[in-house]
Order: sequence, then structure tokens, then C-alpha cells
Amino acid sequence: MTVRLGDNSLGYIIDRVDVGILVVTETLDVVLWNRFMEANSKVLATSIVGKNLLDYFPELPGQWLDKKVRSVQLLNNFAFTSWQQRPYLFQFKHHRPITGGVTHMYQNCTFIPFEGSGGESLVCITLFDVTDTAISHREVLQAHADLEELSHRDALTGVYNRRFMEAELHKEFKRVERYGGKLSVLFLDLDFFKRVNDTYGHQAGDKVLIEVTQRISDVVRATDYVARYGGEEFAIILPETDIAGALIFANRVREVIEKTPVLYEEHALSVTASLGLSEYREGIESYDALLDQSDKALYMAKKQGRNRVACY
Amino acid sequence: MSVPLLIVDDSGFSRKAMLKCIPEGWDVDITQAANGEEALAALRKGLGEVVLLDLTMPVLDGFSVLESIRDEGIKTKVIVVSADIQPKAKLRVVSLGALAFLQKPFDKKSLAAILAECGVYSED
Amino acid sequence: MKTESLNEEENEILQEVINIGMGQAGASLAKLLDVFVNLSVPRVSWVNDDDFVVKVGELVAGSDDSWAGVRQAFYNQLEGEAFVLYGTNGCGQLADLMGYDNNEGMAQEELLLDVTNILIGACLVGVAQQVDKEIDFAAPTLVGLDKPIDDLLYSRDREWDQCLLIEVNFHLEATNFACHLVMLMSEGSIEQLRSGLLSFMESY
Repeated sequence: MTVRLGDNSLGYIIDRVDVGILVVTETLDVVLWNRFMEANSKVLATSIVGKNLLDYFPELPGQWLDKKVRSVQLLNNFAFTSWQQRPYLFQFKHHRPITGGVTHMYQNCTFIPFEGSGGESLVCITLFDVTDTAISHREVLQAHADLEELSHRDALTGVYNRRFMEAELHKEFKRVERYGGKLSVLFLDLDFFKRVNDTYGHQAGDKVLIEVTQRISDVVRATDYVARYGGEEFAIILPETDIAGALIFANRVREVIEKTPVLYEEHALSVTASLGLSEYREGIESYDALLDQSDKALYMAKKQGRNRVACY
Repeated sequence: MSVPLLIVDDSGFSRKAMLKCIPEGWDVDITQAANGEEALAALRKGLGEVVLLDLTMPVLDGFSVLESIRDEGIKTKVIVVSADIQPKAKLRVVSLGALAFLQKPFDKKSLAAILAECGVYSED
Repeated sequence: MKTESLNEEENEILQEVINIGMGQAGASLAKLLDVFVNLSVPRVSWVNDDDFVVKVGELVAGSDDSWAGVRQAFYNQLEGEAFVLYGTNGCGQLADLMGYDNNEGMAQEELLLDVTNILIGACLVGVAQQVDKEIDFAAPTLVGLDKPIDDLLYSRDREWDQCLLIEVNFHLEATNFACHLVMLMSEGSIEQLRSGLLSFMESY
């Protein structure tokens, strides 16, 4: 026995399918409005069919929709919209208790040109609810961004790591080389840090590193980059800063480290730092050379008795 | 006396298709060209009283061939046969002196109709 | 099973079929933008997946060094993937040409998707009609903006070892706007195409 669809079956399916389906004329008068559209818009087919779509939904992008419908008819070609470029056509609520931060239903739409029984140019618009896809896409992007951010950070102190710092310095270097401007680089090394580790253990050392990082972070500008360069050595990139400005900054850093001892268990650990400083000048070949200068200045600061700043 | 007919198209298949569609009763002396330069060389030798001319071709395209025909004052009847169906392309070739425009793909019938329309050959 | 590449005659017929498809795509674009579109001679070649990026790089070389790319898959009797590559220099003119004002914020990306859909749709429907095969389209998606060609097409795992590479380009007269339509067809489609090409030939 062959099973056949009844006369009303197709109409029933179109009405009940979990996709928005509407048909409009070239002047955007509504010809068909299925249940998905009714349920989400709260506008019944019996009221909107025969009426102009824009009268009921003045918030629709009318000019755009008009052009879209006309071009679909003119070229007799399907057209698509994607949530990634146009989040939604109709401003519907989504049906998700866990929203992932979204406030409306994301939609992918397809525009299908066809002819009515009297030869009228009609366009069928289908709406797919892609809110789930949009939410998970957003989560993936966020996870990527988080991972990338993590890969730039030093695990113990939370400031940038050496690799990221060098990449940023490279960019800053290119910038001043091309467009001019100022750029200074500061190296900082904690004095006698090995003694802290040897006397009180590595946990004490870690505490000192975290505390010192915090104090440095408190005095830098938002545009500066603080990085743990390795061990007890830090580097700070100071964009738009000449050596005079950098020297003032370096001394502040030196002071905030020296002024207050770091508390570890019952011990008050006195900490000091030596700092080496250099600035970009025309003719310096690479960012490496700039780092090298600051490193040499740091060596001088150490040699001159520590707890001081030296300029290259 | 046979009519010198020049068929210009970069596609060998397309030239073959045109050959196949030439009305059987038409007494023609056929020359083929694969680009605009070859076409102009043949035209200058008087090998194209009637020309079936493609537009999109390497080396020299159909628009340029029409310009040269006009500039050099070559006497010939050109029917453009092209897949470039932009209304502006049709206007342009007609303003450059082409008699008619035949849209690709074409068949025996549509070619015969155009030939008759241009007064080049009629089967009756 | 390795599909044999098309023979010389089939290649010629294909070129002509593509030519017709391209003509229809050009006419659609001209209608939409009300401009004259300069068409090129289509180029058809047979490539290994490994060669794809290099080959496309050669095809578009010189016209720009930074590109936007949109891809659109097609399926049914003919199946494959088509790309439209837009030189960054000409992209900016598109919104003006389309006659959009800024109020409704028609984003550059959406315009590129629209134009891509129109070009690929018209061209491939044209081809499919000539060879009497069914074709349908997925929605187009953006591959990238403002990138070198290698970055746009690189690292895309394709399922096919061998594919047919077809390139046509469209240039809008009196503008900097130019784009290349590149398509790849699966091996299975080649068989469909071959049979379609033969009947197209016999129709003459």
C-alpha cells in the first residue's frame, strides 16, 4: 500500500516546521506567515497576511530588505544572510534559560524567489534559529582569547613573559624607527635574591617576586609593559618616554621596592633592586641592541654597589 | 559566387559549433580566426564579407576588432556571437557598427533567423 | 579510483560552458550595480590539492597583494567549492556601487557575501543548465579580509586529491573593483560534468 499525503499535509508541514517561513510580494506585502513566525512575533497570520510587513515591524531594515527582495527577484537567484554579519532579521527573543550573554535569537535567513499562481513575483524568506551556534561560537572565541592571553603571561607573577615582551618591544621599535618618537627600556634585577631562596626557601622567593611585581605594576602607566624576563630579572618597556622620564620612573620603582620589607611568615625581608636604563636613539639597529644596552647599564648599577639606577 | 565568411572565436569548440550551424544552402568560403589579430589580418585580405565575431578573446577582443574595422573603414557585415549578455555589451557592439547580436548558446534556428534579419542569407 | 583528466575536446567544451556561465554572472552583476563588467577568458586547469594555493596565486598574481575571500559550497549533481577573491583596493567602492547609504550600516563583509552569492549563483547555475545537471548552494561564508592570498587559501583540508580548477575574473569598468571567481569540483562531479558536456556538444 502506498501512503499518500493528504491535501492539507504540505500546508500543515510548512506551518509546523521548526523554521520561520514567510512569503512576501515585491512591495513586502505578506502572503504567508507560518506558526514559527506567529509564536515568536506574537503577530497572527490572520492579521498580517495581506498587510505590509514594514507596517507591522517598523524596526526592520526597510531599505535593505527592499533591495534584497528586489535583487533576488531581478536576478532570480537565492540569497542568504548569516548571523555573523547580520545577527538577526526579526528581533525575536531566544528560548534559552542559559543565555551566554545573548539577548535575542540569532538567525540565518534564505531568500528564495518564485512565481505565484498569477505570475506574481514572490519571495519566500526562511529563518533558522542559530542561537546555539552563535553562543558556542562566542564561547570558542572567548576560550581562544583566554588561551592566547595566558600564553603571554608569566605563570607565577601574572605579568607578561619574555617572549611576549620581546614581540611587543619589536613592534614598538619598528614604530619609533618609522614614525619617530621616544622609547626606553628598563631592566631590573633583585639584589642578593639567591640569599632569600637559600635562607628562607623558594616559597619565600616566590612571595618576594609576587610582591615586587605588584609594587611595580602599581606605579607603571597603562601603556607600559612589565615582563618577567627570567629568574629575578624584570624588563619594563616605556613607550613615549625619554631617558630623563625613564630615570624618574626607575627611581620610583627602586624606592617602592626598598621602602617596605616583604613579609614572609614571621620574617620581614628587606629587598632592593638594581636597574639599568637605555633609550632609543637613531642608528640603533634592532630591539636586541636596545635590550643589550639596558643590560649593560644594569651590570654597571650592580658594579657600582647595587640598589641604584644606571643609564647606558 | 561564394561569400567570404570569417568565423572568429578563441574556442575551437565554439568555431566548430558555428560551422555546424551554418545553413546548408548558403554558399560560403570559410576562414577561421582564433583571436582579434588573426581576424583583422583576414579582414584586410578581404576574407570576411560576413563576420561571426566573439567578444571575449585573448590577444585582441571583439570590441577592439569592431573599433579597428570602423577606423580602417573595412567593408564588412559583423554579427557578434557572444556569451557576454549584458545589455550594455549589445548596445556597445551595435554602436560600434555590428549588425546584430546573437547570444550563446545558439542553435541552427537562431543563427538562421539572425542571418535573415541582417539580410545576409535567407533560406527562402 | 583516479578520475582521468578531461581530454582536449572536453576541455574546450567546458571552457565554452564556463564562458556562458561567466556571461550570465557578469550580466547579473551588471544588472545589480548598473555598471559595465569587463569579462576575461576563463581559465581551466587540473590541479593536485597541493598545487591549489600556488596555482591560484599564479592566476591572480599582480592584480593586488591583499585580498578578501568568500567561499561558497555547492552540491547535488555538481559539487565543489567556489571562492571569490576581491582585491582590497577595489573593495571600498562596493558600497557606493550598491547604492547603500550608511544609515542601515550595510557592513563591508555582508556586501562581499552578497556579491559572491550573486556571482557564484549565476555562473554555476549557468554552467549547470548547459550541462543539464542539478545544483544547489550553501550560504556563503567569509574566509578572511585583507590578507595575502596564501593566508586566505592555506591550510584548508580538502577531500579531493585532484580537482578541476576554474578561474574567471570580473572587472568593473571605470573602477578599481575587480574580483576572481575560482572554483574546485570534486572528482565525482567531473564524471557528471563529462557526461553533461558530451550531450551539450551533441545539442549543436
